[in-house]
Amino acid sequence: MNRLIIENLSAGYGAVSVLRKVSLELNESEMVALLGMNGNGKSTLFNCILGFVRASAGRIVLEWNGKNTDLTKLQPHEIVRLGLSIVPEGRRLVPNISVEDNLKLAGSNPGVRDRMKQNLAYCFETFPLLLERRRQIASTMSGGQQQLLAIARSLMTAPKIIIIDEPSVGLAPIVVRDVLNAITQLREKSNMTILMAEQSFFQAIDVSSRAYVLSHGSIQREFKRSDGEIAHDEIRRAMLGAH
Amino acid sequence: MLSIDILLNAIVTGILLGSVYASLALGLGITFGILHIPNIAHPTLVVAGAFFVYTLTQWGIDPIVAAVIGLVPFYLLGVVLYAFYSAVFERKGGANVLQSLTLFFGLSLVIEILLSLGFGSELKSVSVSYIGLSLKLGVLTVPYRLLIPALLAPVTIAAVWLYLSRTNSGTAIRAVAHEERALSIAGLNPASVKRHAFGIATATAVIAGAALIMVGPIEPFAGRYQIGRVFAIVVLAGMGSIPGSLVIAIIIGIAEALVSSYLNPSWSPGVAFAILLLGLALRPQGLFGAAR
Ligand SMILES: Nc1ncnc2c1ncn2[C@@H]1O[C@H](COP(=O)(O)OP(=O)(O)OP(=O)(O)O)[C@@H](O)[C@H]1O
Ligand SMILES: [Mg+2]
Repeated sequence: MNRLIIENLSAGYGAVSVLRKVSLELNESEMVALLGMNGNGKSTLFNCILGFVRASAGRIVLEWNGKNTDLTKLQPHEIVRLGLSIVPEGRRLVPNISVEDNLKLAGSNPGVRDRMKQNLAYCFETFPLLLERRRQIASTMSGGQQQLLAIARSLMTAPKIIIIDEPSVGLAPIVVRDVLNAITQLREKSNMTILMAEQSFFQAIDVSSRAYVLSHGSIQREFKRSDGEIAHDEIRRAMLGAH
Repeated sequence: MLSIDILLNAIVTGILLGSVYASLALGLGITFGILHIPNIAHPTLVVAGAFFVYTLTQWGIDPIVAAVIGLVPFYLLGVVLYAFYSAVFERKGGANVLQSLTLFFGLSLVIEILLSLGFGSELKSVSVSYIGLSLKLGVLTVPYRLLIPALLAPVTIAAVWLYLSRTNSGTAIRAVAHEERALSIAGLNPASVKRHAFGIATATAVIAGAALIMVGPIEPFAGRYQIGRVFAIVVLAGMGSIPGSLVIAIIIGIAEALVSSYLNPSWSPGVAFAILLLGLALRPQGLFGAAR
């Protein structure tokens, strides 16, 4: 089975340890939510998966098409070329170039550049708004539009797995709906494998098959849709760190 | 007395000289203007380029052909220099400006000493049939030794700018200093993008070197007189504005020529700074730079 597994991952910044023995897995075609309040380590975990933060212990293994690759020793661009892509916290768009150039930049790595045209067409088809605004400088777009661009960009590297870090943060409620609709649509269209962090979890758990709660750098609980309706109260309690 | 032909000649000389300055500043426009690496060794690399061209002309090769031959070795030199720079600094979480300045200052000393050892410290020039001649247009006298090097700048700048603005690798270069992580996310290695950009910047030094040694004789320490001027051009154009640097360089060239014709030739090295201060007072982001 194709999947990403994280085993006993620990990481931090210098002497500060943030993640403590985190284990989780993400199976192909699944959408999994990672829930947690501010500062509990969601972004740190994602940055570890992408190689921006080094793990101090544990493994992150991509098991795909019979090949197992440990990601913990690789550089971010190598991890992206293996098929992981990220919609990061703060979006990390190139501010001073156009929408289209942001997309093309992501589509120009040696692993995918021969399919640049198709990938770009796919992005524009999925996000017609970006086609309309393809010449606009990225930094002049609204927050929601930039978030859509960041999501579209993550498609340009032809990912097996997309990791989305709090797509709704800082957006007006009505825009949040647009962004989450875009993600849902992506799921329906291509059955994309997605790991998404959120703290406002109502919508997130509606579209996810499972959810992990990360609290103080450890996985506090795992909720499965197959176990029945996920009770909001229980999630809230887990997020606050109660056992 | 203000005679019109002295004025015209000063302006034309200024335009041509400014164009040569633009060639000198082009590499710095990439390393400092785009990558934000304060490569004060760039003028010395230009001088090294001039000596490369000088060496080939000794074998009867035309200086412009020599510069074209030099593109690949100078590109590779730039790649090696950047690899050294990043091995020293960037792996340890990035260099601060003072450390980078010290490194590049040291580098330019090393290059100057190597050039002195190899070529001696007396002036060297190139002799090509067209270099002693002048083009006469009415009251204007335009020496070819200025006209030909001046024509190199618009060509090189256009080529570099087209590459930076129309290709995906060019976009990556323009993006890397703004949002390095965007490159990693795109599956591109920021370090190799910067190395490539540094290689291109250093390759332009051999073209500028050809221009410089055609304009006049050169010695190993000649780069020192250019540092202030090229930084003034890059900063005043607006960091990252490559085409703007040609305009600024020409303005500085004209101002210098007017100052040396009408006031005092020894004041002309200060002209670039006077213009820089004035320009930055009016537009802190540079004349062609976008506000940030
Ligand atoms: N670059 C850094 N250097 C030092 N400490 C950091 C750094 N980034 C995050 N931290 C710390 O690590 C902890 C976890 O932060 P992280 O950003 O992973 O949390 P998060 O769950 O993503 O929070 P949020 O929901 O606010 O984005 C916090 O205590 C934070 O202060
Ligand atoms: Mg976060």
